[in-house]
Amino acid sequence: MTAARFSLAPEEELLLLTAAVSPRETAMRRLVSEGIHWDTFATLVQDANAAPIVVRQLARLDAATTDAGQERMRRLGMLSVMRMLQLEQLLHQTIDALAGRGIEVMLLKGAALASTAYPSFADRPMSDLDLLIRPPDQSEAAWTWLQTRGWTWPSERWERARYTTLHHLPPLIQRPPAGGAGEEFRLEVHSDLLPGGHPFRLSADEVWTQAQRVSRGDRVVLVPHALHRLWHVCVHFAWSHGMRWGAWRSLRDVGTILAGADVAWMPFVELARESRAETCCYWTLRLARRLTEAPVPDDVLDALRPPRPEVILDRLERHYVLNFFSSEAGCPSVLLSNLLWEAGILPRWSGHGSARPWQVDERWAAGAAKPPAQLARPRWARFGRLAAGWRYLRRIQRLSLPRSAA
Amino acid sequence: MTSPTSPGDITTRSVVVAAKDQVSSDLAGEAILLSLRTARYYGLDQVGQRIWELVQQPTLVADVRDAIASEYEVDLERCERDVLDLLRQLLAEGLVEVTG
Repeated sequence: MTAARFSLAPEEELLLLTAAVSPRETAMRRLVSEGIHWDTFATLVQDANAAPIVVRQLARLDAATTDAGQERMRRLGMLSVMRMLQLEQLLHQTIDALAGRGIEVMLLKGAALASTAYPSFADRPMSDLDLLIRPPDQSEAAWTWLQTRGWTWPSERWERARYTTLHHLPPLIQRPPAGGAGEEFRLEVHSDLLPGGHPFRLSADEVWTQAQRVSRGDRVVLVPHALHRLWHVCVHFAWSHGMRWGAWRSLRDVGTILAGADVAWMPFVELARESRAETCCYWTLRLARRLTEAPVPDDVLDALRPPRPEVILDRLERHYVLNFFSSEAGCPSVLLSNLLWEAGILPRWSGHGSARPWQVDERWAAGAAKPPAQLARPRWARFGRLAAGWRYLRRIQRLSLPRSAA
Repeated sequence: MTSPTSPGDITTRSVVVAAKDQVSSDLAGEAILLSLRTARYYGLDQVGQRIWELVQQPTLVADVRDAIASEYEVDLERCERDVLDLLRQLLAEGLVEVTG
């Protein structure tokens, strides 16, 4: 990966390099020696919840980072590790509380990966715990019961009405004990893997049927099957996050999953096809291979590849990578961004019908973002956006380099 | 966990082991410990982390001292003093136990 190829800022490129299981030290060293704005980098690291991993990856460079930069990263890393140590304890207490009530629980997302692919919980920082409950109608009982076990629902922040079509109930929170590190802990009680109205053919029942019990220390926890874990990372990133949010974490998850286990690739391709997730899996795996050298075989990408010429896929790849980070280099229009997402995911070809992730708008439902601002803009402002969109497309085109230069 | 022993009880002939009611993680050469009993965090530097690694199994303090002295090429007498100091602090905080 080169900054010229994707036109990323050095701090963004350095962060993406650290997502690799075995990062390219020469490239990291070059970026650091050319100058990194450590405050900017620290903000990116914090946004990506990547601190402990970044600290370890930078430690490979010995004294190449500045003392101030290293110290700030170290502090962020320590804070994150402290939080994860505590979050893991909280997870155990929560599982025990639910088990005591006879409620069956499966770990999802970060908690499932931290218990399987990663050596420890601290190696997979996460902002919340995601628990899947069976049967789905028990999720309400679990959610209510947990509110008697130390978790609270701040109803003014997450109104119940916003969660009627979502796959989880309003988040529950718990404050760290006195002296504990950082902000509140968050828990989401799920009844399904994805929000209502999603187009994928993988039901929570199938995930439960093939779930695996894994031992971690002196505990046994229930997690989705290895293929379902990889599938969920791919779909969550490419569909739920529109290939924009959570890129660092998703790419790292893919690389770590592939580094730690022999993936049964043909069953995975089959699963992706049958579940209508071919293009979502393709893009997540392609980006993980391109940016973090995750060992995804050629024939797997060929089997999942959307029916479009490589020249188109190449431009789309540049667009997706440019939009991992909120910066002025990113796509200037929500509409254009949605169109370019559709150009890569091919929802109709994939059998998604009219279902699109932005219809779910979970981010808005959760109060994390406001409705698109352009709705309130005057009509003349749209011409400005059209021009900006056109300039952006030309820039994506110009960024393309001959294959030999990549 | 066994009841706390007086810090003075640790000698080179003691066998020590990391207490059960703690969790820890490493961070690029440092160890971060969380006591589940007190909900307090502790940080160990690189040498402390190595000692912490060694006491994950019941280990004779003299063996810890010898390993550290050899790995870090330090004077045995000074090494013994530093190792005992750290282990006594960890014992006082309930992070290690003396098993023999």
